[in-house]
Amino acid sequence: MNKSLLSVFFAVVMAIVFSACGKQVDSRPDLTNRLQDVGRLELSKMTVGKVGMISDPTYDHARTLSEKAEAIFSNMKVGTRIGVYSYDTYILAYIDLSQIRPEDVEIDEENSIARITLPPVEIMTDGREPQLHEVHSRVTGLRSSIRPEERAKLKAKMAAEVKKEVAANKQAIGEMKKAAEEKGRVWLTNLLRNWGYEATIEYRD
Amino acid sequence: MKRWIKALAAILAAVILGYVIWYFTREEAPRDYSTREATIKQIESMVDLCTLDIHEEMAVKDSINGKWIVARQTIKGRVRFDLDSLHIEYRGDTTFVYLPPERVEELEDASPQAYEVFDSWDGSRTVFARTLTAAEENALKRRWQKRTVDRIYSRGYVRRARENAMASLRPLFSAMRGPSGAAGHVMIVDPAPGGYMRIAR
Repeated sequence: MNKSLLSVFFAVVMAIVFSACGKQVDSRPDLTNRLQDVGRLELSKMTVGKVGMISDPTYDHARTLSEKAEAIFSNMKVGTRIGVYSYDTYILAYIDLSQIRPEDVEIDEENSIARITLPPVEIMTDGREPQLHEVHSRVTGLRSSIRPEERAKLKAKMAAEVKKEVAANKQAIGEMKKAAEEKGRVWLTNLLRNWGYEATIEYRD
Repeated sequence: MKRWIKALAAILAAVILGYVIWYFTREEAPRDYSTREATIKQIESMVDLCTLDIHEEMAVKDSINGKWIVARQTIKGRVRFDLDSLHIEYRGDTTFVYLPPERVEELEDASPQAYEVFDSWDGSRTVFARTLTAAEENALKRRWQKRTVDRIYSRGYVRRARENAMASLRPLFSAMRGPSGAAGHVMIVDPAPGGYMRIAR
């Protein structure tokens, strides 16, 4: 009796051990959770250049009376004062894999096919170059050099415009999203092939 | 007639005097800040895993060549991993996946208010004072960038970012199949938990 009980216990222990080993090399993983754990995957980057200039106001561009007066006085000053600057801003396209829902992952176990619908590609501003590159500077006569305060103000104006101009450039945003979608599709297809699936990747609208 | 000439000369002198006073006492005339439309320089594809975002606002007082600046800068630091350059090695039925070197990037926030200069002056000359040039200002900013990156390492942010990356990638790659196509053991290895750049330094 004792001997048969012992053998049953042994069989149960072995079954637990083997099932645990089996889990380590699970070939049908829970795709949804695994993808959700990745979080933000950045797939394309756009570099946006902007050029700005510090110069004396010109009469032609003056709108108000004070601006016109300012332009006339500037013309009376001895010398020239001009500075041209540029910097780059970086925009990113990414997918947030934590947004994958269980219904976005369909697995055909029999044929080893995975159909995945990824969250839509989103856009974010990564940041801008801290440096402001001096493209050209010409300060002559009795004019004072361009100060850092002025360059900072110019950069602020440029940054405000970059934000609007990028948002309005639907074509560039579309190209960047397309590049990101393609890259994400290729990368995930290869990854899932390594898992033993032939994958079809789509994007949510 | 002479009275008229005297009056005219007085008016002219007053105008000239007024202009000279205005010219030397006022701030530099409000500049004309003109810009050109933003241009798309490049669109590139990649697969980057970003596991740490740092947003910091710092006030700085620094000098170069005897010229000083006091400014405020909002920065964005990020720690990324290029998943396209993952090194994968097969030994027997075991697959080794190595976490790539981190990329610590520090940029200025893209908002218009991200950089503000409060004051700048020549600390070595009071007469014929020199102005901080764009090149000098850029050199200072590079110095601040380097300090920020050093701080990111010394505060253990890179170590944490690598831990986060391991936590993200482990479930993703542990289901990989070996070279024969059969399921096998997968080891996710972090060869430099404290960061690659720290080792390089």
